[in-house]
Amino acid sequence: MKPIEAQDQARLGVARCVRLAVSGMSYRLLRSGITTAILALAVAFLVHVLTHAILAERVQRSAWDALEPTRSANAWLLHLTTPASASELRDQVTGQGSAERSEQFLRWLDEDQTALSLLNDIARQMKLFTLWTESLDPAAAAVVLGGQEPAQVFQRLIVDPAERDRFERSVASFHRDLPFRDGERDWDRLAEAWPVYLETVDRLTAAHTRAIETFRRADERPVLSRFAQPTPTLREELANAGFMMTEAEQRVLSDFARDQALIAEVQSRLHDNDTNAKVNADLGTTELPAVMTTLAQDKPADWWPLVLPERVDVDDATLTAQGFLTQQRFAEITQGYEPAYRETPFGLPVGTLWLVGLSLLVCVVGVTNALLMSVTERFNEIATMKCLGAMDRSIMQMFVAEAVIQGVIGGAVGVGLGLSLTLLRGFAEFGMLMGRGLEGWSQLLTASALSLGVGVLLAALAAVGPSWIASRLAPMEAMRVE
Amino acid sequence: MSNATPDQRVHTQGRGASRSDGPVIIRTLGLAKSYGEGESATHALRGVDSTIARGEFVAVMGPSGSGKSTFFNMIGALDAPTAGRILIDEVDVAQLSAGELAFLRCHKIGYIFQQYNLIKYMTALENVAVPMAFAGVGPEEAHRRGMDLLKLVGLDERFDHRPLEMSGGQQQRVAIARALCNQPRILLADEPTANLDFKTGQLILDILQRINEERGVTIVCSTHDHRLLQLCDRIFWVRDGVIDRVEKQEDLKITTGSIGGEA
Repeated sequence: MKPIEAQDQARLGVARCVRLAVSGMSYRLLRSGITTAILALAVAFLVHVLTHAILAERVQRSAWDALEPTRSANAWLLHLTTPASASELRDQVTGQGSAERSEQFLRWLDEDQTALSLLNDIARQMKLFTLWTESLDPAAAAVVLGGQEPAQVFQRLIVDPAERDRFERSVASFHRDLPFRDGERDWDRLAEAWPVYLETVDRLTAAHTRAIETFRRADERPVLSRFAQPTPTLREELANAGFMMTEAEQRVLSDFARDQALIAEVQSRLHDNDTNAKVNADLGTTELPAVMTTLAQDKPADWWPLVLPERVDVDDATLTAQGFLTQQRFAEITQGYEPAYRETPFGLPVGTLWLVGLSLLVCVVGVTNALLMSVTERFNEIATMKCLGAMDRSIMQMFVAEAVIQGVIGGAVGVGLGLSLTLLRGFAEFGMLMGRGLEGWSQLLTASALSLGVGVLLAALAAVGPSWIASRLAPMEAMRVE
Repeated sequence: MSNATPDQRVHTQGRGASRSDGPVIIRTLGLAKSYGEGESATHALRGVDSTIARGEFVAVMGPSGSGKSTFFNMIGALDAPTAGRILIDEVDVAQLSAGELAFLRCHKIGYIFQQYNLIKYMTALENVAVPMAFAGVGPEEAHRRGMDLLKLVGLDERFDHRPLEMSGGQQQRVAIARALCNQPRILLADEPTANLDFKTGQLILDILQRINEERGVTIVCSTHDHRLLQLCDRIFWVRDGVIDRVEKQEDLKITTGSIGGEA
């Protein structure tokens, strides 16, 4: 007699598995539809959050870059009219364009390299100290700083060793490391350098004041007018005073000054009663943005000669008005924005990441529940299949395959939804400027693909639990459950 | 039991006697099963020793709650016993791994249930093909074999109907075709005719008999249907979790009447 071969059951092929899952899903269209919809929503949320962050960053970054000339012009205006304070000096030697500025400072310090590097050193240490205080939690920061500005605290620490002891004790009580690794030596070095630093700041301020005075005496007009209508000797005057301004910077400032002059003139003419009445009759308002909007268009109104100076060409005025509006728009978009490199996925703020994580968690629970329901109502079917020779593995495979199919469909729908939402919202926020954000389409696609993957993975993960339960059932036990 | 009117179709063939003495295919040793624990435990089976020979047609009879279904599940390797052993082809089922158990259920045993247990969303042919999918049979081969089996049970015309579009008898015939698709040596039928009317039940029994005689498949059938008594080689009378007595066909002095007339 031939005994039963103790042989292992064959594996269920992927194609078979998918076919079984699909026929099961089409039978339970409503349930699998709901599961798919949950997945679609989760993926849509994820896609939207990611792509919107990418889009907004791109648009804001490009607006920020476009405003660079304005920032440079404003910085120069300030520099040419007001002596820098100690903290401004520190910012200037460590911040953007510090190389050029250092060169100028070096000249003002009569090529005293030691003094300048000392200034540089203290400025850097102070910046590090400030960053360190920002890393403290609010409660610790309040105690450690005693409610004062970091820079002030830093100064006191340098000049007063007793203050240092108190500071180190309070830092230790919060189990935090000190801002400097080899504490004592650094403090001593800084304390030694402090008087020289103070003297350097004084020297620079004095030199700066002298330079401003020299520059002012060369031409009595206001600085803005001097750049709006430059004399041939302007470059020379700048150099004589000791300001190292590049030709490009001068051009930028001149353009800026001309625009500002025109805008200022328009604004002052609007104060004239006759003009005001006329403009008001036409536009219903005499607000500057409204007037500028009209000027930016190619349809001259009869009051244009009243607000525009005779020397100004109408085309130039239109350009200026367009520039004014663009800058206003850019300033609006970049409000509260500062280019920063964040070490988070897609540069998302940590709070948003939490939100994304939480919503994904909720989604996993929802999908798990839906699949669990689908398993319990199919106990009989599962039991039958086990009687017919299905292995635990095959049952699990079928359920995971079902979930993955739902994940792919739901994910695709979700990506579509999320991207459309991003485009709609982006258009509402940025209008035509959104095009600048769409230049980062490869990043948007990456985010979408990532979200789709997360959706599928999520579905597969959510299916593991229920399908495990399903596969472990003894055939007859499952069949008894009705 | 109705033995009032004598039946013209009294079983007269002298078959079975020799078959019951043939090589053993199912053997149980002290088989016991209880549900629950301690005082409140119910003992569904309390030590069943039995042997079923290859090619035999055995009816398992007994009142509801006698342990009939439990016995049926045990020998089908669908549930693990609390004590005792089950040997199928002299292989102890308890020794088999999960994979080997699945192989056993898939290739060696065919199951027929009272509730048919067809998969609702599949057509007749797809239902028949399910065990073949688990056995790794290719789609074309499964289609060919499935159609042959549906022809055997007389349903080849209705291969693309779903269970809900079929009568109980048709569903049970699909279930029989499904049970046979991997050429099992044993066919276990748990009250296959309980939910069917007389004529349909007769059709099912005829098919079972044909399978037993033409294919030599061992059939174990738990039932209340006394028509089976004419078909089977032996009857296990189960009562209170033990096999009360075993009767051979030739010892049966019962002649069954036409129950349909009474019902």
